[in-house]
Amino acid sequence: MSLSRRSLVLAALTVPALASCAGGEADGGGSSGSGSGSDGGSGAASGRFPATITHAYGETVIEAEPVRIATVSWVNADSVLALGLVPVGMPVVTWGGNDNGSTDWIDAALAELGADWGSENAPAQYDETDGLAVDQMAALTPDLIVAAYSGLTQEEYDQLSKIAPTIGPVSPNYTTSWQDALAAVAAATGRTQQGAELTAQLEADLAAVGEENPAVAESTVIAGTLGLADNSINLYVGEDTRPRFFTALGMTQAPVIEENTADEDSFYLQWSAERADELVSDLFYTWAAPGTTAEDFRDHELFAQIPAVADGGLVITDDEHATLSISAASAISLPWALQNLVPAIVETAQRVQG
Amino acid sequence: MPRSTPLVLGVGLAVLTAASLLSVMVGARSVPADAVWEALTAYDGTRADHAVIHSRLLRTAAGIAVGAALAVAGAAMQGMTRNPLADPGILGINAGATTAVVLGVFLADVSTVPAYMGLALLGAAAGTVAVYAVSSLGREGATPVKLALAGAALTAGLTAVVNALVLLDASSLDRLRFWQVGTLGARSLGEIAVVAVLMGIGVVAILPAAGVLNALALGDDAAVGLGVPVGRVRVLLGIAIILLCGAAVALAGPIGFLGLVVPHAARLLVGGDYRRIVPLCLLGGPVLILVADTVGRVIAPPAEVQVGVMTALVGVPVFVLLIRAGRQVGL
Repeated sequence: MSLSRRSLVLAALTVPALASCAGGEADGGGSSGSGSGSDGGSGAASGRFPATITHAYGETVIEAEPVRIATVSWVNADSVLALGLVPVGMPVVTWGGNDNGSTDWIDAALAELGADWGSENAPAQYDETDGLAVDQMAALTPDLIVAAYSGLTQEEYDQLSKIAPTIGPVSPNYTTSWQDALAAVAAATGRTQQGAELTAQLEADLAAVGEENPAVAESTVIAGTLGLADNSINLYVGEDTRPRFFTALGMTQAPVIEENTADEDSFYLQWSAERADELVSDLFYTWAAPGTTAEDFRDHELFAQIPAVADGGLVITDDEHATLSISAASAISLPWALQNLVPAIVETAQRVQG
Repeated sequence: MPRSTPLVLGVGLAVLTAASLLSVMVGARSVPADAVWEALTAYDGTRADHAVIHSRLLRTAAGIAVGAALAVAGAAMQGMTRNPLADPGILGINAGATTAVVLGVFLADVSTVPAYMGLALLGAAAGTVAVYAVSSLGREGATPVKLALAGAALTAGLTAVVNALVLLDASSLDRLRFWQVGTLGARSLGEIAVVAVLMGIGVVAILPAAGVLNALALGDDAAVGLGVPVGRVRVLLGIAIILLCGAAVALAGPIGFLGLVVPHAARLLVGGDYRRIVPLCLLGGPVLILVADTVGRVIAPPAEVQVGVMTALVGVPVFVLLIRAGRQVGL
């Protein structure tokens, strides 16, 4: 059975990321226009064109500042908005979206930029449920297409490149970090410096959680999914966005994860529920179906053996919108998560650390 | 009944007991024998190893119920259709049941075992009718090969529907994923008991009809000549088979090959008389599923392999061996 791109999209979000091992090499690749945010702009000088962006499918040269930017997938529109620009078109957010087919953080950014939904300046939206909305994107006559975070294939990249210069995936299969996505968009729009500052600020805001709350900094964490329906335990490991989020807050990934993924390229790990008690950590993050409570996991005789579940260290997002803010982490979703999810995480860490 | 049959059944019972013990003793987590004994005699729910043994007991109970149901259903299907390839998986019954459940979860947010059960029965019935209707087209009617082809086509189509629904509705993914590959051990004792009662009705309906299956195996004309009301018997057996398959799917999701392999193995051991094959399937089905499940727990640490994958892994080589043995694989 071959996985369609659509299934990869969902896999990246919901099942542990199916990312290939290529993520490792992409760390070195990055986008040469800007490198990772902390390097500042090494390539294109801020505000200068042409700008060259390096990605999985080669280099894309942007001759002049783009004014009609179309985006695909998640994270990319967020990155454009974070830099104070309004995309001319972006996908409907189907999974985890709000009533606008968007997210609360996108809505807030649009409002701030005077481009509320329904207003004249609002982006056009297209549905990507059945694949790229190539025709609709072409009709918008964009001068830049952003797919820095995506699972774009070479074929799709070639197709989009005929419409406009396209930033392909910086790392393949939805493994591009929010920092790399932002840096690529910043370089492509002549805002390298602004992108670097945003990244540094957000990284500092995330790290401040641990610095201000010793309980968070002292906590070990495991991120995964506990499947109440089929007794399954899947753990997110390595460079997956969820462990990244918790370590960015200052937590440490639990030793049991490190021990069992030492020579694995995989981004997730299946774990027998019979060995639940070996999953020792202070906090355990799981996403769950709406309405699921910590009680439901404590009532499960095997999941109850997970120390964090038994001792009140379970962190749940049972709301797709909230889950999306960390599973498709972006420069504007993370501030939302800091405001809406982190207080409960801090509280849980403090309770666990006594 | 030849003298050797009670012996075979006795040995079968002993093997089933051993397989059940194995299923309780062996798993992803190693629990020493004395701790297993303690868990059985002085259960302490706060101890991780006791909780594991308790979960294995439920898993074993579900395995016995599902294994017996699928193997008996397979034997009845093979006899009734004179089709050596008949199996709830191959003839599209499991796929029909699974699809109905997934549609229920997707459209109506169904989440209880009795509701799964009702949907699985409806889907199993619809799948059966569809496969028979399609394969009855044409002059020679529902031949074994046409049935198998129609079943395979229906299964392929419905599997695609299930996978598409799982992808479309990620919010129910947790519940839907269960219906893609069969799993034991995700059901409570109460749920197992409810489904087992229905399975019991199905088995009780088929056991006394074993003699009729023998007559049907001679061909419809011969069966009519022997005084069997062929049409009515087919309908009754069909209902019993659907009951067994729907119940098995509701409890464990889709599990293939069991209904194919176990009756053939029984035939090798006790010959072609359904009065001996059916009771032996009642024991052999649970043995195969328990062994498959137990091996699945230890084969890929720290993960487990679902029993639906394991029955295929165990079932296919057994089936190949059966064919290579070259004896009495036909009916």
